[in-house]
Order: sequence, then C-alpha cells, then structure tokens
Amino acid sequence: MTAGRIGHDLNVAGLSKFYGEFAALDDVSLAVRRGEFLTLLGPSGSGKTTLLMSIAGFVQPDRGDILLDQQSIAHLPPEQRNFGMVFQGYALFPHMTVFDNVAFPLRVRKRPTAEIQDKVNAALDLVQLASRADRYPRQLSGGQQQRVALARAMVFTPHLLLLDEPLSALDKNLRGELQDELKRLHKRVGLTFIYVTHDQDEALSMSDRIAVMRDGKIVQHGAPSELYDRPATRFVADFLGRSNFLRGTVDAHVDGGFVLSHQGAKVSQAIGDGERPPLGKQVVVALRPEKIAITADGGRPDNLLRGVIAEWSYFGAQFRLVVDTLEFGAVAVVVPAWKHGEPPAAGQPVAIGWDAGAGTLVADN
Amino acid sequence: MSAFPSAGISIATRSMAWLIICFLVLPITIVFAVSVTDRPYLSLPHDGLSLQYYRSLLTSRAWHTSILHSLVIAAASTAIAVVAGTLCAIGCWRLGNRASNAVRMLMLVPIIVPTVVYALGIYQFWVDLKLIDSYTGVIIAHAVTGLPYVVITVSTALAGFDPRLEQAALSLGASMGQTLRMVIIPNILPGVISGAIFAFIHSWDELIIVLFIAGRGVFTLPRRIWDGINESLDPTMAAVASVLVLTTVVLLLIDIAIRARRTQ
Repeated sequence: MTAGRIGHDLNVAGLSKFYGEFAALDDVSLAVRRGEFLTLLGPSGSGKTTLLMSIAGFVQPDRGDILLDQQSIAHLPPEQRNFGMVFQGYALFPHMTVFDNVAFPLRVRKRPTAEIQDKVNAALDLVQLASRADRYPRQLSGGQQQRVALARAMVFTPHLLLLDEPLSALDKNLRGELQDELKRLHKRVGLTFIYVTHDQDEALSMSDRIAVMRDGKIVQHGAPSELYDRPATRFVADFLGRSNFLRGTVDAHVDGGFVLSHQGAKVSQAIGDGERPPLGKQVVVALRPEKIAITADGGRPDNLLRGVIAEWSYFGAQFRLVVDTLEFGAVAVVVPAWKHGEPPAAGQPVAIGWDAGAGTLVADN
Repeated sequence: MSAFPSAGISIATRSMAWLIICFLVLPITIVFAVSVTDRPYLSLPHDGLSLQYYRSLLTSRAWHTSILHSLVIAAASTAIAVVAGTLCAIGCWRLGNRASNAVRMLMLVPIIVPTVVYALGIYQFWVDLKLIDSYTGVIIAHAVTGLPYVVITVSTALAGFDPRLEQAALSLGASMGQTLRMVIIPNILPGVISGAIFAFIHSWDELIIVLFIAGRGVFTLPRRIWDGINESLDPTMAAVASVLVLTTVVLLLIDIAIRARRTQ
C-alpha cells in the first residue's frame, strides 16, 4: 500500500430514494470520518443496502448529495468513484485465477506489468493467500474467497472500502475469526470502512461507530457502547442486544430523575443530563437483563421487585431467567453463573433489584 | 422408489420410444444408403456399394461452387447474427424491464412467422432495395432469421450470470466496454458459441428464403439439391445430403460438448 494520505471522509446530505410511493431512503444525512469503521445496522428493508449502493453509485438517489472530502460525487458513475467494494457472496470473477481477480482493478487502470505484479503480491500477502495465487475461486473455501474479495477491493488504494454483509455466508466460527481479521486489517491500512450488516454482535464488536437504520431513516448513530447503554428509542434498545421495557406514568420528580409508577409499583429512574418528562406522562424505560441482580439478601438496590422464576436456562457463563412479577409481568434477567451458586428452580420466589441509573428512558417507537 | 430409473417403465412405453426414434432417424439413414448406390439414378444399392458419387461430388465444379457459396453465406450471416444478437440480449438483460421483454419477444418473430410468409416479405423488400440475387441480400436475410437463436441462447446464459459480477467490475474501475469484454462475454461465451452454431446450421440448410430471393447468381447447397431433385435424379445429391447431415451432426456434437463443459 502506498504511504501518505489514505483515509477520506464522506458526507451524505439529505439523501432520498423512492421506488414509487415507497421511500427506501428518507432524507438521510450522515458524516463518515476519515479512517473510521462505520457500520450501517438495521433489519432487512431498512434501507442500509440502498444507502451503501447510493454511495457506490449503483443507485441514483432522487434527492440529496454525496460529498467526498467536500466534493460532490453524486453525478459520477460507479467506475469513476474509486471506491473498493466487497459484495455479499464476494462476486469473484469465476473465469479468472485469484491473481487475475486481484489484478483486475490495476489492469483496467492500465498500470505497468511490474507494478501490477508487486501490488497484487503485496495484497495477497496481506490476506495470507500468496500461495493460492493460481487457483480459481471455486477451488477456495468461503473464508478464502472472502479474503480474495478484500484483497481485490483494496489493491488499488480506493478512497473508501464499502462492505455489503461480507460475512453473512460464513458459518459462525469462521465469521468470528474473519471479524477479528477485518478489524486488524482496518487498523493496518487506515482506509475508511463503511460496513453493512444486520448482525448486532458484528456491529458492536467491529465498529468505531454504528448508524442504526429503520424504514429508510437513521434512527440513532454513535459509538457502540453509547448506543448500547443509551439507546434513544425502543427499537434501538431491542435491536441492539435485548431489553426489558417498563411502562408507566411519571408519578413524581426527584433530584436527578423521576419516579415511574405502574400498578402500584414505584420505580426510580435517573435521567442524567436530559430533561425530566412532565408529570403524568406515559413513558417507557428500557432495562438490560444483565443490569438486574437477584438480591437474596444484603444488597440495597434503588429498585426492588418480587416475583417467581418462570423459566431459566444455563449458558455456561451465565443463567438467563424469566421472572414473573405482579406489576410488570415477565422480566428477563441475566446473572453470571459463578455468582449464583446453586442453579435456580422454576417456581422459586425471588427478589430482583437494579439501580436508578441502570435503565434508560427511551422514545416509544 | 426403484433403484433403476428405467425399471418402472413398461415395455409398451419403451417400444413406443424406439419407434419414434426410428421414425425420426431412418429417413436420414436412407440418404446414406442411397449415396453409396451402384445405379445411375436415385435408388438403394443393388449389386454392390460404390463411392462413385462421392468422387463426382469432389470433382464437380458446380457442387464446389455451391458449397463455397453456402459456407461464405453461413459464416458471414452467423457473424452478423452473433454480434447483433449478443448485444441485443445483453441490452435487454441490463434494462430488465417490461419493454426489454417485449423486444426479446419481437426478436423471436422470424421463427414464429411461417418461413414462406417471411420470405415473401423479404422478397418484396429486397426488390426495392435491389438486393435480389446478391450475396449481401442472402447474408442479411439469413442473419436476420438466425438472430433468434443467438438471442435465445445468450439470454439463457445471462439468466445464470450473477449481476453482481458486473457491479463488481464497475466498482473496481472498469468502464462499460471493459466490463463487457473482460467479465460479461467470457462468462456467457458457451451461450454465444451455442447461438453461433445454431445460426450457422440455420443458414447452412436454409432453402425457402433462398428460393425467393436468389436466382442464378447465388446458388447455395440446399438450392442445388432442390434443383437437382426437380431436374435430374443424380445420386450425387444423396452424397451431398450425407455431407450436409454429417456437418450438422458434428456441429451439434460440438455444442453438446461445450454445454457439458459448462455444467461441470
């Protein structure tokens, strides 16, 4: 890879794309910083692939602009954008060897033979496939094909690397391995990565930032921990990890938070630096299962509920319980197995507790 | 389920199948038998076999000229049909909308409309364009009527072509021309070759259009056989017919071999 400035920034401004009445992209704006690993996360049909394809130039947006380093590129055809792209299913050329596949972007740019030789070998070294240069794609495993696709998309030092669910076809173990590899590769080459996936674990573990999409809109974006700990909406809280949702009315304002009441139960909820919701308003609080503890005795959490264990399952490192409470119905709880001592039993009465800062007030959509 | 797929088929069905095969193939084999006759007229061999009519085929100027005419016309019309048909199929595939489906259907008209009707139309047209009894006229007519075969086979090949390969090529910086040359064509080549073989065979044994638009100047092989049957009963025609059949069979075998390689 050449030295010097490699990463570029990209700005998407007010992008919309309609298919008839259906808005695949609805006024989407997004700033991708130089050299960052940004993930577009969302369920299928949320518009994440349409957004990626608009950036690549395969989808012509109806409104809005795309700027690379402050220059509009919206009018450029895909072949003039100089973006590397890794497709779902890799899209390797079946009639070419690994070497010829990786050499393709350099050959169409009419680079000298010696340079092609050097760059392709360097790229194949980078993905540890130098020994497979004369194989055909069909002779390689899924993971190897994926690495060839990466080498091909990076060999010409593109402005950006776009990845469309590149790991979705692989089995779980291999996927984990390649996630780590992709992360290392990103650090090493310094390119700006835009990554599309519907897999929340992939998004959380790999990205510098995540933009969560739904119905053609970006509903929230930020660092993975930010999104996980402070989801803005019920959808984000549920799509990234799992959540309990406590509904109730705002009963009282207290210092730094409020009290939510529902069927006689009162729950204190901290609000951080946000604004307290008005008294009497219906609100939803998202509560992560692992932030709830089983309080046998001793602990004095801010909130305490009583219930009985309805279900439990063992996952080695943790127990996952469903506790039936009178006031809030079924509540999912995850506790570290080593802390719990003996296995729980269905029907056993328990008290569950959490602190006022554990939950997050979320918008109800 | 039976271990042998043929075990469940009754004798009646199998006899029927063999009868149909004989019905299809026997008339052709008779041509081979007649071509080695020892008699001076079209007939089965009587006292022995003779290769004299193959010899006269090799030495006859008239037959040579006709074979040459047929080869030149078939080669030229195939070239036109392959280029135009392939581009048409790729264009329709890229658009992928309702209009492109209509175009693809329109391309099949030459094999749907009865050849006599089509030939009559071409005749009227060629009279105005002064293309009657010219090489150009026959080549264009055969190219147009050979086009459907190319459009069909290339469209079929494209149906199995992953459109992401085209997107990949473009995203890697290839122009549309480079993408066509380096990615699309190599991947659909078996379909293109199939289409070429069918277009060639079509022109090679086409008679009706030639009867309408060619006179004395352009004299193709099927035309000479036709005239030979009408005017004389020279068994050389059987020898020619054998050569014609063998050429077609060889081309079809090549096509099957290419298809077999593709499915590997």
